Amino acid sequence: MGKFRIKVDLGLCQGHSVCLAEAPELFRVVDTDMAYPQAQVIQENPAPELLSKAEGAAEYCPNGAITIVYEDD
Amino acid sequence: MTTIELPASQKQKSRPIPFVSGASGPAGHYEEFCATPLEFLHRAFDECGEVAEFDMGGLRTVLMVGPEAHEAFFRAPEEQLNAAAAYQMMVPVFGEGVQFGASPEIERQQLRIQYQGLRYEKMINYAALVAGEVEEFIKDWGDEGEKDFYEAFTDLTLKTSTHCLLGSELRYQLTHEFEELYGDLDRGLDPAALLDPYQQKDTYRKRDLARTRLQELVSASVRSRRERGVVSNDMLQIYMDAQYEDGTKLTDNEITGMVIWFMFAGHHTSSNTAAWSLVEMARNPQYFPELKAEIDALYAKSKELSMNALRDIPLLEGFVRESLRVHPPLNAISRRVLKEFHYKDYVVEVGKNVMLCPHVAHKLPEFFPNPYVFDPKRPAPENVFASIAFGGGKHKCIGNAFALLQVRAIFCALLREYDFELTQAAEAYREVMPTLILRPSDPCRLRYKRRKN
Repeated sequence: MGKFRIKVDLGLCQGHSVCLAEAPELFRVVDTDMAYPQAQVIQENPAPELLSKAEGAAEYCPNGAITIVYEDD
Repeated sequence: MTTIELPASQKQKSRPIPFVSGASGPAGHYEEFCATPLEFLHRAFDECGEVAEFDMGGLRTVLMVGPEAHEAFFRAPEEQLNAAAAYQMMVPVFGEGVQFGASPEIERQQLRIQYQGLRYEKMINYAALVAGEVEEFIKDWGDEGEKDFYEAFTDLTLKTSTHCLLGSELRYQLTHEFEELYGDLDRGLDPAALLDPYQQKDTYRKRDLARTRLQELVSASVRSRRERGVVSNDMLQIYMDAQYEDGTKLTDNEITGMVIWFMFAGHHTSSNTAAWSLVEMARNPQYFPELKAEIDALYAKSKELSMNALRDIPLLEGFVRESLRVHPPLNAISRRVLKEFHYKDYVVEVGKNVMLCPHVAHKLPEFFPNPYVFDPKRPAPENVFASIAFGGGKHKCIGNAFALLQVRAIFCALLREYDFELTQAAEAYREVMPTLILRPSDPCRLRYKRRKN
């Protein structure tokens, strides 16, 4: 129960870094060769107790680039 | 993800794109588009559906409507659907060598420089700066009065955006002349500029004179800063210090263009959103008690506005988001087709433009039930491509988070002090589009009254 994964749509991400502020355990923002940096997920299988932080990142992302995929056991 | 490329075997089955009625001679639909762009684009959609072709004086343009079409548009690579070729009307405003007047490589590097002002660590200081500007703005208002809020918000957002994005030095150099010059540049962006921004006419001559004069003013600031050896923590400094990847610095022409570009992107779009939000609040006064309670609760927690506190005001956010849905400021998001573009059974040939229109797209009843009802409690659509007020994909307005923060901060500071009501019949506040930006009609007067505690 409570397992989840995080997906970042790089066609939408413009590196606003709200996810990094919400959940530094789950995201980093890295430089790219585009005009702006982009977010990367740093935990493939995050601990269930980080779910609310991940949901905060998805909710407040200005570009709606983050999706939480809920996985049943 | 939407598939935009059809297998070669199916290409011959492409369907013709429906053509909008009423084209007249070599000008096609150009005159009607320039005179009444929104009415024309709605008519095009009503007649033809999700793809509609029209003729802009020889430039064939395909309007695409609906989240699926928007997604195909925004995910197409730059080499296929090109923004620079479609937005050449910005070149005489920002200047040659700046943004779409530069090579794609230079444009990318310039956008990287602009992004410095919108970084998260900068944004966290902006809410309090905006609130401070609003306090300064209302200090002489007295207990009650009337104002034109299109003009008032044009004035206020010029100050708030300049202060936050370009720094206090440029903010306090904002003179009446600066505002006039910006106005002249703005009037140069009429619908006709989409086709030819170099026609010989007075508005374009004034635009060019304004660009020249702005360069004198900005160059003088740069020179003075260099002579005094002053180093500031603002965008002008970032422009002055910035280097391209080959080590060269920005010229005065480029610095001026960067200032104008940054201001243009965030000024009228934000001021009109603020004006519409206020008009809609006054049109729907039943929400005022809840709005005020929300804002009072925010100030009860903290005297100073912060970026995080501004998230916790769902009804105010709903008013701003719904204003952007019903009255989106920018309504001709365009790209030039450089490589044949396939969408469903349709093929758009090289040389044509494709266009999205938020005003049309935001009225689709499948995604926005009762689309002509202003409902600040309307849930956001699940499809991220249904709402396109800020564009989408890689070219989405990178100032979108700043714009929303700025308008929310303005209303927190305003509604904390004052109540507002219309001075004319609700329907007298009409949508007009004398330039490429949608705005409320003149006069946009509202009455304000100090809140009773």
